[in-house]
Amino acid sequence: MNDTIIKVSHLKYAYNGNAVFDDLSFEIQKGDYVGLIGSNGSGKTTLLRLILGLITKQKGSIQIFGKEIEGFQEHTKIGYIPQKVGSIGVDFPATVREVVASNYSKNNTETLLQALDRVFELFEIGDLSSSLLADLSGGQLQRVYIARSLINNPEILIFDEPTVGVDKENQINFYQFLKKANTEFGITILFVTHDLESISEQATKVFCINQGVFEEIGSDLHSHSNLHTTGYANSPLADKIYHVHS
Amino acid sequence: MLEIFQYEFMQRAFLAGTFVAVVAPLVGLFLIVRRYSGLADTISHISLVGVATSLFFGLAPIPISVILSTICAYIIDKLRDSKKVFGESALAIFTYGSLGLVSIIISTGRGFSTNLGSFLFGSVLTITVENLCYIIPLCISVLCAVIIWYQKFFVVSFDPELAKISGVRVGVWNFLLILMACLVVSSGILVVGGLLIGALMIIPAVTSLQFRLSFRNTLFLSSFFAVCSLWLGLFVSYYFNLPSGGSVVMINMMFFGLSLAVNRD
Repeated sequence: MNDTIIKVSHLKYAYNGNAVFDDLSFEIQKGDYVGLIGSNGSGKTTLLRLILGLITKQKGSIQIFGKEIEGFQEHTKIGYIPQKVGSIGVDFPATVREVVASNYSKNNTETLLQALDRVFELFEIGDLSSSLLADLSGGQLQRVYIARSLINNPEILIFDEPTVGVDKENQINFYQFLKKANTEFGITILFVTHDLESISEQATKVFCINQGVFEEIGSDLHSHSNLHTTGYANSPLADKIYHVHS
Repeated sequence: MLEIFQYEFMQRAFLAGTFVAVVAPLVGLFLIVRRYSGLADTISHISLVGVATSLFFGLAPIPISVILSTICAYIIDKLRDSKKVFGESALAIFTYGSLGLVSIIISTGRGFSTNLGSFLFGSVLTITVENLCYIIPLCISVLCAVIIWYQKFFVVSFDPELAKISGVRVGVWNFLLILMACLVVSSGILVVGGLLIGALMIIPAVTSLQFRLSFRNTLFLSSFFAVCSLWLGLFVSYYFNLPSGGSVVMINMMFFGLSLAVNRD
């Protein structure tokens, strides 16, 4: 059985003539807990958008669950939580229940009620089900969006800077949930973050991206130029960082 | 039976108006949450071109209006997507272009300006049985589309990017929403007029938003307000000899004012 969830090969992408990725290759296996770090503008979010099919690659291959991204149809296998969840949809006139249920797929083996009960219980948002998004705090909104992403029991969760705008207590809860999702539910996790402290405690792999370079493991990571340029060389992350020569 | 219902033209007005009032704010609410409520006004102006053209050639106004407004609304949406012009500018260009074209058609026409006036501000006298044969099926189609594809429209309106990641074909549902707006405008143009149909789509929806309900209940409430305003407006129009379109819109404004007063906090 193939355990590769995401396989990126020789990816090339340029924006306004400037190369973001020139020849990027990496894989994410089932059960991985991957943190993606890098300086601002290094292409982290662009990479996620390419993987999610929101923008189109120029060359190379992106395979999700063994299928090329262009023909990928099993969207329920992916749960995505965007950047700035604390501000998305806050003025949209909908309740928590409506927003979470809106992502329910007819391919789900659970009924809508069962799926809602499961995610509401998991995130303790049952009491908020009738609340409007406008009445929620940043932390509550974050839980709503994660619940929404989990309604179809995805196999991978993809987060883009998930803790921005969320208070410390909710951040801790959030990382506890991620750990649980990864270890107990076997959900593969890929997330972009600047939160080095949490990522160093949690992630099993860290990809460092800087100026389109993305590298493979080694024990001499502290000396790697990419880590120095991104300021991570002396962080607790260093022994978890993967480097892939492009 | 009340005197007002003894006249067939009023019966037709209530029938057509009720169908239009039920669906107009449903589409209107989806446009509002997408920050695209100006589209209703632009489509109504484009529909007037369709009406003027059909009167010029002696054709049925509603089908011509549907076809023309759909084509133009599609072009507007593509222009907006292309980012070659700002979204609001695309709407303004088509609004003014339509008005310019209508004025030219009127000036070259052979005295149909009186009839066109009913299309501008609505006149219950112009609603014929033939018109009902277009209005009722079109409104039922829109209502069915909203009921059947409610979740798709909701997801695309909530966040197009999240919708795309979930595998929803955002472009298709955007176009369907625009098509529905065109159908509503073309259906309502006889009841409240081309210049005022946008009001029946937008004001009841904004009024219902003041009550801070779920999205689904906001939809129901907006239809309720629209139907109430339509009925009250037609009564006022009949008994005080006022234009139907203007009366309906002013009742809508009154409801909006009341909704603000009731939900002051």
